[in-house]
Amino acid sequence: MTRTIEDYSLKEVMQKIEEVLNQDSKPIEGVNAIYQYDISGEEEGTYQMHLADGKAKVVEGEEVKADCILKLSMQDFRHMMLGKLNGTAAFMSGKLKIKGDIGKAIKMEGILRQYNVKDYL
Amino acid sequence: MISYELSPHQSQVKAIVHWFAENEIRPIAMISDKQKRVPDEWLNKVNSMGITLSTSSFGDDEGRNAAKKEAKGERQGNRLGVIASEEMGWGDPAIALTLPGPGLGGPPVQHSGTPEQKKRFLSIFSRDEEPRWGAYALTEPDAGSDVSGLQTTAVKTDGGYILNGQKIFITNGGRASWVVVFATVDRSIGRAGHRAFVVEKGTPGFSCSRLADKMGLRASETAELVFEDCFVPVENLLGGEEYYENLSSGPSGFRVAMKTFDSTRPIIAAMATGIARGAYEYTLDIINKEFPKHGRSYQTACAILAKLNQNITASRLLTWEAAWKADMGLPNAKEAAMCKAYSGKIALEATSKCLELLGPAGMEDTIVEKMYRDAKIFDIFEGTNQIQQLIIARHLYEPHGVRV
Amino acid sequence: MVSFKPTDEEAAFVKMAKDFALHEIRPAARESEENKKVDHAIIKKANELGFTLLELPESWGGLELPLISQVQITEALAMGDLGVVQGLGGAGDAASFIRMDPDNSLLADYKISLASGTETAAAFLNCEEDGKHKVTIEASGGEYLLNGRSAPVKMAEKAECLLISGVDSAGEDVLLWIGHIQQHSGLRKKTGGDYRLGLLSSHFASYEFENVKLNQASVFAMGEAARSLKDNAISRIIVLEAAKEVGLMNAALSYTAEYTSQRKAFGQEIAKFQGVSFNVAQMAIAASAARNLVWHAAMKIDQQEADAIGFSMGTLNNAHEAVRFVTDSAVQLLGGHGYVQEHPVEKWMRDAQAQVNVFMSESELLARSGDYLLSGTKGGIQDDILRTVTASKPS
Repeated sequence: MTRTIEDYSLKEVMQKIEEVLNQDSKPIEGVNAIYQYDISGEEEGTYQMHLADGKAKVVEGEEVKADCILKLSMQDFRHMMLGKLNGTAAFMSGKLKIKGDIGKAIKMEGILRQYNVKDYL
Repeated sequence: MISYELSPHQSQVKAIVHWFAENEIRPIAMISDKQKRVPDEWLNKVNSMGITLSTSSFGDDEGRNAAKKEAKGERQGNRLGVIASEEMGWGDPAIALTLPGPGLGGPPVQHSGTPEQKKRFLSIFSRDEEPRWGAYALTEPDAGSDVSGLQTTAVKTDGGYILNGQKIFITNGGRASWVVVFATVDRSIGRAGHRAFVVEKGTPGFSCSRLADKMGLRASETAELVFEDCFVPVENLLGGEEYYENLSSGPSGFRVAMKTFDSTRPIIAAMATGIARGAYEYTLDIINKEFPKHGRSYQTACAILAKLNQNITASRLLTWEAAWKADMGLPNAKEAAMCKAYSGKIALEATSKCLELLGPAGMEDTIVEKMYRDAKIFDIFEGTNQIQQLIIARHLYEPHGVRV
Repeated sequence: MVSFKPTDEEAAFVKMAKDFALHEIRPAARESEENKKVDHAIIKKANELGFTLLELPESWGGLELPLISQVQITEALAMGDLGVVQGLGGAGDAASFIRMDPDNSLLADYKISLASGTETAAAFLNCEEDGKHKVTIEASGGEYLLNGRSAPVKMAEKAECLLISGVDSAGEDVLLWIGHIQQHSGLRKKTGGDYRLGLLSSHFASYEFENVKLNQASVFAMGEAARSLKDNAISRIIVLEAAKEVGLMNAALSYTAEYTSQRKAFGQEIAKFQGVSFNVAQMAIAASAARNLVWHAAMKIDQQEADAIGFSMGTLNNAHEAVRFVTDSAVQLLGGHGYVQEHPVEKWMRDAQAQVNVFMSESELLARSGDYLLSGTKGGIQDDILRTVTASKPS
């Protein structure tokens, strides 16, 4: 039976993302960047996503200096994964705060959109 | 208290829109001007990025919730709108106006539409589908500044209205999925007879006859629309019959059109400020790199650039003031007219003086030359400079009991 | 977050200033000009209400208000009459220097004097402004020798204290303070000058220096310290002057709108002719733009932003140009009635012209603000080159 995204803890969501990005790595080909997600709210945590050579690695905590830091609430993060929250709208409304390289942040938004999250739950 | 500091949210919006203007818009600005068209591939790309030109994107619904969280219930929509629009204008105004979305048709639907209409018309803009546009058709060959001289007729019939007439200078009029069209149900009663209809593309009797060639904003589609016995169902009368039933108390279609100007004029003024700033920054950079740091040419450049800097800053401040008042729910028609009048004028002056500093070489293949051609329309559309002065004057004389 | 809303305190103070301006200052304007001075009752009231204390530090009994508050209040006061406002006396422009260096030992006597309630006025002479008149400051062994005649200085006729800003013969910046002008025999005020243009109640007079010797006891500051003090204090003075000009613009705009709404010609109120109403609209835009720049400049100074000094110069240049346009329009729109002295607009036009004439050249302000934009520094590289050249002659 498929779980809903609410059934996943933040850690599990992050692990799933790593799994999915590596499994279907076409969208991340040629992308070299380190993204940091600072999630707050019902669940909190900091995760870094290292993208290089068509591979993705997700680590918990602030290992190195990220190219850009994306801050959002757990609820908004879930909505974004499910495509319910438009990333651009999230930037503009302030729900998603960016620090660092804006271009890379926008790129990540575009990458994630290419995965239909529900397929992987 | 008085403050000119951008909040973190405002700064982020500015940074993002500027990034977009610099990295996505500017690279295609010159070619789009030359080809009189924004490339379709580019439009598909930005549409899928979810970038739209929506003057209401910072205001109602989603924006309002975010704003509430952030600033104890203080609305920010208008201030965010002008901050973003300045960056868009800096990038390229023609391309900005061509971004998918309801565009200038958004505010009337937003302000006057029934909930059903708002849903029906505003939900078609999706990043998962092809890019779509909305448009706003008020101007006619014989009715520009004098909107009360509207000639497009709407005759009531079974189930709707029959529209006959012509509209010109309509941005995105040809590509729009729907157009907000202003027509009169009775020419003899003047403004009270005006109505706003949403006419959908493909409606029999509704066509785009031609696209105009312009001095500037060449990449933006400027269409002529023709209505020949065009049937529009009553469900497409904005606000429905009830909205216009009580003529004495309810706003007429005329008021619908006029009210939106209080929000859209600061947006346009912000774009003009962005154009001026773009020209100024480009020229300042060249002067710093190529002019000698002394002598007459340097002194002249100092004086010219200093004056432009004042003008651009004043233009921004007047625009922010108008937007702030709108956010505060305070009447802002005078301020909206002031910032629009001022910004259009200084944008033309700035681009012209920058060309002067760049010399004859500035005429060839420089973005400032295009900016000059783009700037001129800002004195004219959304209410000419003369109309703005009339509005300002009316507000100045109202306390003295004189109607000018 | 971007806001244009004054604080409640500011709003209250502004209202008080506006009332004072319209009910006390305005009625006394013509008389002040004729008598070439401001009625003492008005000065006293202004002091009591705190209008002459806005810039002074609290340790001096002043209100030490941020500039953003001061410009709003000053603007409101100037709506009464610019000539009167400039003739109110007190610490005047020197207040900005006092604010930057309140514990300067040279100021001790003046501080006591003001605290005891006397209305001792101070004047500020800026020798660095070029022109026909030039005061030279010859430096020799820690002493200074001043010679020459200055341009007309505000309040000079009445002032007992004088702050002098200049560059000495060795090219060093210097600020000199004369606590008691009468103690220097070589220093004379050229009173009774033939002033007719405007700001006639502001006690303008030139100073004449004949071998006036000042030693270290008169040095308020020198070198880098003086330069820094000057840049900062003068930028404050500039913004306050611009605020006064905005007040004058508002007065002219208001008066003109009222007059043209009543005056009839060709069968209707002349406001109904677009040649008239559009002119008034342009006056409103110019005044609004100028006001916005003044507030912004004040805020930049309060926040100590990097471009504050250059921006203040651009702001005054803008205000100068705008106040000339607005007051000229006011006279024009009143027609013949605008030209005669039954209405205040001709006085306001004269005051405006005197104002822009005295408080720094419009073009010079523009050029220097441009210098800041291009080279990112004060005065630009050119000035420094010139200064080195002139200072390199053997002393």
